[in-house]
Amino acid sequence: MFEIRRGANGEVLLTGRLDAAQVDRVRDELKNQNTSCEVNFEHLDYISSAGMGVLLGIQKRLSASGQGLILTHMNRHIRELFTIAGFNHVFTIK
Amino acid sequence: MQRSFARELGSLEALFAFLDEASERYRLDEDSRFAARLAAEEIFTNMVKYGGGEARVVITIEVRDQRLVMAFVHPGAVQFDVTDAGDVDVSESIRERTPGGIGLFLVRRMMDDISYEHADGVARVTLTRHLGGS
Repeated sequence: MFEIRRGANGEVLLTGRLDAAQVDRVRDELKNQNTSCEVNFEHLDYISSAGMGVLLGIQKRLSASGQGLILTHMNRHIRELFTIAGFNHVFTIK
Repeated sequence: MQRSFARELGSLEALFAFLDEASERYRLDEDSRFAARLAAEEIFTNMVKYGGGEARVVITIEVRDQRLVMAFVHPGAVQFDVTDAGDVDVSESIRERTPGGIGLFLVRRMMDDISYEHADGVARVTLTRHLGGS
């Protein structure tokens, strides 16, 4: 199960499991995002390299214009994956 | 425990259900459950993308001698040695970073051993993780 929706302030809220079968939903939701944006991981249980890859692609596009994703409330396991992959240097992680 | 899966991303839901079942049966700790999910998805999706053929992927999960062992058998596979994947340079700047190779890089970090065999058109990937720590 995976859900992506917007919070009241435009924050992106992820819920469940972001696997390779779900990445197009993230890509679609953020394809027109041109300004910095928070992505809340509080209710995201799991992510794989496919999910990390789609976020990386969005981050690369935004960073070209000085913008970026701010990733918040990651669980311990997901934070470890981002650190192992060096993504803690690529994203702002709160 | 053994189950087979159609070689398509739509199988991931069933694959995760199988992993949950195995995790309960073998009473895996949370770290091992997460590692098993990640490694299984990465190897399975690799077989979906690069495997070839119509055959289903057979996955066996067992615990023996305090080790979690997951075997992925794919008949009709083209040769793609997952142990040959190069390292990812995690110090690259965002301009240089690409998503390629991250999945297998993470698998190598989450598992203690990865082996690959390809014989008579059948690929077999075996992942091992010592239980009680990564």
